[in-house]
Amino acid sequence: MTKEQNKELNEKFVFAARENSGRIHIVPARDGWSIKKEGIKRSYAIKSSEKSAVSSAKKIRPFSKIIVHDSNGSIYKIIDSDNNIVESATN
Amino acid sequence: MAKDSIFINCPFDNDYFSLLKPLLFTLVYIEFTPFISETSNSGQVRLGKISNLISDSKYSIHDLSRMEPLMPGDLPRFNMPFECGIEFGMKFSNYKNVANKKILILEKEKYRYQQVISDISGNDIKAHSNKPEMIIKVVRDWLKQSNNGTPKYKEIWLAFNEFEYDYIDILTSDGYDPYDINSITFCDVIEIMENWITTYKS
Repeated sequence: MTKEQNKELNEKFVFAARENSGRIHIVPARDGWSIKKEGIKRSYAIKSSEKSAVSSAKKIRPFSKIIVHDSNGSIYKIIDSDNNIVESATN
Repeated sequence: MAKDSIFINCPFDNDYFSLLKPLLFTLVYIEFTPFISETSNSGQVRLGKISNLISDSKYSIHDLSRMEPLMPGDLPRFNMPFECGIEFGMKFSNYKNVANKKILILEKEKYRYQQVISDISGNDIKAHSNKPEMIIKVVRDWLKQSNNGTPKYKEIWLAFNEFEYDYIDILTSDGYDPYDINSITFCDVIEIMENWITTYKS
């Protein structure tokens, strides 16, 4: 990777960390399924199942995407604001 | 919190990458500087590099969870227990400042080490069960013992998941394979994490 590519890549990560995109993450953890709004350090709520976590996350306004993670932290599925599953895990 | 360095002895393969990423992320999040042999730029021979990294770091983490062969019929991998042995040799010979170093040994399952490397009994040995969430928890809990103000593991796990989304998204859109450990160097991965975490926390 050249210096320029490295700089560009780092700038994208800084932008992504700063961006308040309305994305909501559903994260499996030892105590249940955490609903996490992007950029907020603490859980918005914890639910006992993925289904109820997704259902609660859909009530948060505004949201652009609900990103459901698997136990590895990878992306399991993405639900858009029209309730479509736009991507599921491929790894 | 001052930035302390921490030596990581672990395998470097795609299978372990799903644990190495959260491990590095945890250390950077708690404001440690990870040292792994792949981050050293010097032209020294590997063993010299490793002993320097060990003696230059305040803590060490040795992950022995991947001692077994990668594939049936392969030979076991000795690098991790060997490097762990180097550190204990330096520690017991009072080499430089290694004598008082804190060492964490990671394993896949509790007590499995007793079947193959029982000499390490009595040290800090924790099992991560091959789960990213658990590696974050055991490493965070171990560092918490000597570092007040260490964030809770759940905060780090949630932040890691958010980072992981950005990592996959940005690397994929830039033409890199986010699941390939060789896509970008560890120096780059650590730098990306540092920048992302600094912005995330601010």
